Amino acid sequence: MPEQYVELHARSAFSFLRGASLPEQLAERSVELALPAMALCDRNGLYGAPRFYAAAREHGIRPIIGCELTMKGGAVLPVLVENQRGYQNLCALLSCTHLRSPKGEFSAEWDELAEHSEGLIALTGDHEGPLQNTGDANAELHRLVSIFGSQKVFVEIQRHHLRGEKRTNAKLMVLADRHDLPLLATNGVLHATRVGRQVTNMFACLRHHTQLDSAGKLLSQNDESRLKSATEMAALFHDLPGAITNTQQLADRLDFKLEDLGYEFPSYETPDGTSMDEFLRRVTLEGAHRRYGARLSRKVLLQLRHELNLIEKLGFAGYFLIVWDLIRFCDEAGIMVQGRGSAANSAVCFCLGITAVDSVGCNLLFERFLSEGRQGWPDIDIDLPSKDRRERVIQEVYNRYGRHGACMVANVISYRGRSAAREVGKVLGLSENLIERFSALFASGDFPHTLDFTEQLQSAGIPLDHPRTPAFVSLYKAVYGLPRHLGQHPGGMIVCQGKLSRIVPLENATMPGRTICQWDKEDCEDLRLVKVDLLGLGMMAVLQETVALCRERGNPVDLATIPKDDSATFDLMCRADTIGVFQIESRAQQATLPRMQPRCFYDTAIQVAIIRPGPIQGDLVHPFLARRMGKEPITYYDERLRPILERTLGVPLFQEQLLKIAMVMADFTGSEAEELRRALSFHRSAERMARVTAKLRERMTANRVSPENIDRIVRACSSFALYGFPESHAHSFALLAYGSAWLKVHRCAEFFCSLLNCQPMGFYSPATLLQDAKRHGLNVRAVCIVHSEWLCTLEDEQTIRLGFCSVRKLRKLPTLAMIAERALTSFASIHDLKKRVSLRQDEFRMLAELGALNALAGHRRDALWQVERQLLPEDDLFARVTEVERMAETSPLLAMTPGERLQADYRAMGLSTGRHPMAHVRERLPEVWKASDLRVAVNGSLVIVAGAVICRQRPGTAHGILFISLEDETGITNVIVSAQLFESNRLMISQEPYLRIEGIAQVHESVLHIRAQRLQPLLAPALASTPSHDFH
Amino acid sequence: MFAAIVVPDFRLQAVLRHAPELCSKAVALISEQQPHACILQCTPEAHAAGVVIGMTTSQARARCDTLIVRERSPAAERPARAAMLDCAYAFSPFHEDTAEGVCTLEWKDARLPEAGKIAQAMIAQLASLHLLARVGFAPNAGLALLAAQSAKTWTCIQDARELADLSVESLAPSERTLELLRRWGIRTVGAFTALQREHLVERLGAEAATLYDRATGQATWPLRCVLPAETYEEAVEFEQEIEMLEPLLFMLRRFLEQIARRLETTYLVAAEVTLRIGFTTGEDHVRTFKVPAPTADVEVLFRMLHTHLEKLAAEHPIVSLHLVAIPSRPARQQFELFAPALRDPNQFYETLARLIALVGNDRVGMPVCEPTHRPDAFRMAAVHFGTEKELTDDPACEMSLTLRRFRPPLGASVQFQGRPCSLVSAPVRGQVRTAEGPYHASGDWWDAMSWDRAEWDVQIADGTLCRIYCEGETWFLEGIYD
Repeated sequence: MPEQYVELHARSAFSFLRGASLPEQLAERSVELALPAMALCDRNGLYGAPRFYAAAREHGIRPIIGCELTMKGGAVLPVLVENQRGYQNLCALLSCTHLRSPKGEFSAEWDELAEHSEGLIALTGDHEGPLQNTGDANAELHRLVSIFGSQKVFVEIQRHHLRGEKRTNAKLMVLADRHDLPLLATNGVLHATRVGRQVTNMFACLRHHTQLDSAGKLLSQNDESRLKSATEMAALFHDLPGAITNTQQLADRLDFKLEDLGYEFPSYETPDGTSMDEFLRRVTLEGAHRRYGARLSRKVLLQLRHELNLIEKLGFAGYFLIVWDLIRFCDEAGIMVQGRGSAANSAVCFCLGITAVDSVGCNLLFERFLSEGRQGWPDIDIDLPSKDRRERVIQEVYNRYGRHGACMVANVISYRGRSAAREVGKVLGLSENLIERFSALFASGDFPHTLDFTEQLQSAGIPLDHPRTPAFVSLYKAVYGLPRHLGQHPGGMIVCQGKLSRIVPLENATMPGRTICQWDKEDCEDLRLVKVDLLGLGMMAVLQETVALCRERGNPVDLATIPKDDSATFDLMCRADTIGVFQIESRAQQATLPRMQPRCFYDTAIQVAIIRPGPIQGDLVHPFLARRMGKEPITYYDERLRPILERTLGVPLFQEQLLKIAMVMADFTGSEAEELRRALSFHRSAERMARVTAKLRERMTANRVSPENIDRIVRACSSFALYGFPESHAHSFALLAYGSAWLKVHRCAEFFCSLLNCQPMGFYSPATLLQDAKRHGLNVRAVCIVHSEWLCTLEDEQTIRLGFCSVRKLRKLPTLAMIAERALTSFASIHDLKKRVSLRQDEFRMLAELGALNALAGHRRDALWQVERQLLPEDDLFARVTEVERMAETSPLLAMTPGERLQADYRAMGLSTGRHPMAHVRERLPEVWKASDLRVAVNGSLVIVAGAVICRQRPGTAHGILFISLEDETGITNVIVSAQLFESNRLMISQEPYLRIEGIAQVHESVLHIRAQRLQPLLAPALASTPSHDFH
Repeated sequence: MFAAIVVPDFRLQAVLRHAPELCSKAVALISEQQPHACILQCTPEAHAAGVVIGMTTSQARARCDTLIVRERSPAAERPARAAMLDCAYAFSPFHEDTAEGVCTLEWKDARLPEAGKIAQAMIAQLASLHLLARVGFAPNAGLALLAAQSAKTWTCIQDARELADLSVESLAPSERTLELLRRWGIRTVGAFTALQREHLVERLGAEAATLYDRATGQATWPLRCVLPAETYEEAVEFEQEIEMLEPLLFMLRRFLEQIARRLETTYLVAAEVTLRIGFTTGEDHVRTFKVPAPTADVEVLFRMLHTHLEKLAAEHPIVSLHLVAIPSRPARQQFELFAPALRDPNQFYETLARLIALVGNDRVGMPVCEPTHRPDAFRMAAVHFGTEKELTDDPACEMSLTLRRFRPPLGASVQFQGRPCSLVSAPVRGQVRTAEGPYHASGDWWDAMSWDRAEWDVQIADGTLCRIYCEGETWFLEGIYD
């Protein structure tokens, strides 16, 4: 009979800086080794449990959940979950220990373990375990037995072919015998295969802040801590067959399934004691009357009835009411709020005020949001103004459900190019300089590489014959993608009926006042925990600020009632004058807008959705634009698809359309369409996508769809898996895009003022926004000690006054105190200012340097001269006399030149109200075209352009092509750089703030690009720089 | 009269002294201490290519792809600084080690008619040491320093007003003050002195007064003359190249006699002697000898050097000889009754030196276990007497039998069928009665020295217990247990 062995003590890379393999890799290797089951025991958490569970299930092995607990005193105790009770106890123990410890530390109390021991099985661990880590192993084992009971303690023995372990194991066997406890063979797995040992060595170095060369005995002695087959383990323990069979027997006892979390979404307490379903119907109807008026159309009524019936049937009424309640809180607190995502497909959400899209009016597919076949909860994402207002809503959720009842969703930060290179270089002892050179190639983040890894090394100046290069390459590749630490999801929160801390381990986030769970968004979704996304959106803050500003200035505006067919707004879009406008401001959007020529709200929704990797990758953008411009006939894959694709001219652009296509062409049921949707939005599993597309093909073939059309439809589906918008989401975003464009046209000053106040946000830097504001006829006045407030303000219809918030490193509270002091009596002089205000000397200096004190002095250098003067003590007998003299004194310093003023502005604020830096060097560049002049450039002609690099983008869909946006005093020029040219000028492109580029003008359908042929840095002292929007 | 010698970009020059071929290329110096190394100094070629001080290496390489980056080396700066002082000493005994790359000299004469010749000689001498210097003469030390900074090669000034165009950075203001002056638009010494002293002091504090006095030529200071070094040096540059040992030994003995006489008069002895031999190639052979029992005995010191030189095979003729002795007070030792102590440490170390000369430096000393899993890994450490033997805390050692190792391990032939069955090697052979293992160990996988082995403890039919291991396909007998 073949041996049966179950590995019951394996650690994944989610035992951060210990294990070297992903949970999925462990599961796959288990299958290869024909292990029937495996237990994952990550250190101090269940971080990898959902991924391991899903992967194990997918591969047909039985996943067992466990954990290594670091106990007080330092011993590490592995425990396995026997049943749901044990799981909940483990979560509670992990949560309470994590929540009372600083982030990154964990030390469980033994008496707390005793309180939470029910349903758990204890192993005695490896060399870090209680029996080997402490002096009195007998007493430790006795303590374990008294906590767990003799039926639930197993003495663990491992054999790693090490000298000395025989004696250790002999002692353990004696102990087991003395306490009458079973032996259990494990291999203390840290990596799936032999090669993983390199990564565990690297992690050991990082844990101990050392390098491989000096780590010595901190490193593992061999690679035996890998996953082994039953045959290998049986051979190792041939003299202790019971220790092997015990693994199978113990595994059989552990029947906990991660589906049995015991999670319940909180119920909503209705005010009058009616049922949640009844209450939901009532508030929906009230909302419907507010939205549609007193008389509801039959279509609306039918839709609402359909949705409410389904919600009742699926038992989701509480969920809708809780979200509705949160929206009400926002309304009452004056916080602008809008639902996005698939919730906008729901008329109920619209009536409850959760979303702003009339799904009935827009003919949106409700089934995309909720269907009978759907497993798990519907997804409602809520956009809130970023920063403080959003934080208020998050804290409200904590207040309502308690610290143990609500948490943020985690975000697993993995090793990527820069972080992997940096840490691998560190442990290999490479110099900081060498690592910095390599990291510099990644500039502001990862982006697709068109170079082989070794070529990247070479271009960083790292020689291939460097003795450490082979190890660098292999470690870099091995560590790439492994989890590094746990971060926080931008807005996902989960709440629970009862204690969430018994469902998933919670821990403190780095941010004060926040707790996070140990799982990420996909994990929560897989395990059907309900997530509400409270997302901070800079544009929501801008809109709210703008509306408030308009109201203050007696020119109120209600975004809900602005005309949706304003031609001036669409004109702005058509000429791609969209800097600062939500979603349609990027370089790629601006390149498409003149071709798209949006003239109605639906066009805006399409515009929002079309520049996405999904449609781009699926080659759907160009056919759509060609059809829209009448250059290509409108055709359909199949006549049956006409009703579905008519609105998008026969080209599928939205996820809903693909689901409908699947339903029509492949007879997919609602559940199958839901499966397709999940596959589309599930980024992790290519296999899952392959399975569903195979099914799609099969069904379409059976339905006699032509092979050509099958290919087209499948290709469209596959590309949407990369990233495609649901139509409802596009509508929600289009509302914000249209709203912001309308404000830019009709409340230009208020809009730009708010944009500047909400920085950092959006695609462009404040300097670029300011230049655009000027191009729209606005005057922007500099920060002034007499006139400026903390935020930027409007002085009249055409004039923005920069606020003190624009000044870097100027502290808010002392500045507000200064403004309050000014309100009492204006400042008579710089001396008076210094006497009454508690700013630091460097802050006074900064204000003087950027001209903010000019009102109290002749010019900037006068102010600088005066602020440096020491204050005399109050009781100085000569102070009064001196003060008079001081008032009369002028500085001997010369006023700043325009170039110096520009430098000073950029140094203090990153922008200037004066001329654009390029204007200062224009005379020196007679051969360089201004951006505004390029409109007359002839297609194919050679031109030279130059400017500040405000954007470098290398989208994954562009086959290595780089897009650079250069800004000068007249506008923005877009440049295309081929992959080859990029690679040969990589450092220059990613490091130089100003570039001079020679290239060929390409004019296509009114859109101009320069195809770069030669790049040079543009060097001049007058060129002050601002951060660029890079590689996002 | 005062003179100042300034070596501009001293740190870079110190590094490039030993690589003069790089001086005409785009080279930048960085400090490796900083996480994001910034350019500290660069050659004019690098500057012309757009490299600016303060840039990161990546930014600099973006501007100049042929840029050669070198790290700052305090070790290279020390001899460069000493070379400057040596040079200064040759021209005036009153000289000061003023700052990094700056050295000030004083002559008691009010005027120095030969200033030009002196300056050129100084510059030439430093140039021969691969240091490009500028020299300035002035009536006081502060002014001389400014004069040197303003000079292309050398200059002599009488009045501070001649320095109006000099960069304000030459006044060596603190970083904070320099930043403020830049904000004020003050770039030259002239612009600085145009401001009133009291106004400056009121704003910049006491530092302004110092700077102002420096800028107006009023700042001077009594030189903190550098005493002759705390070492005893003798050096010679041979007129004719030496290819034989005898003349070298002859000169060495004379050096030692001189040094010994000077040591004796101050009741000191030599604790360390550094021998530097310069070859025609410009390279040096340097060897430092710790004197085990510090002494001023010429014979003892001479024997030590002689033993070393006997085994030194110089590939090039010798052009210079430099001997430095570091003194110490004579040691007084009370021999203990039971503790073993060397009666004549010098004799012992001389023997060691002979051994080192025969077998190499890394093969003589006391073995020290390396903290690694690699079996039998050790390094040779310098011999020290009187230190306690370190106790091992290795559990494997604690319980193991004594293993008599073969170094290097002996090749063996092993019949292996799941376990070693028979062993044939030079000292032991026979059927394996029992075998324990394998014990797997591997390491240094990131290096060319990676290793991987499987060890077995085997007992041969005759009862011999030994350790064998397999590396790749090859078996070795590592040792025999007692």
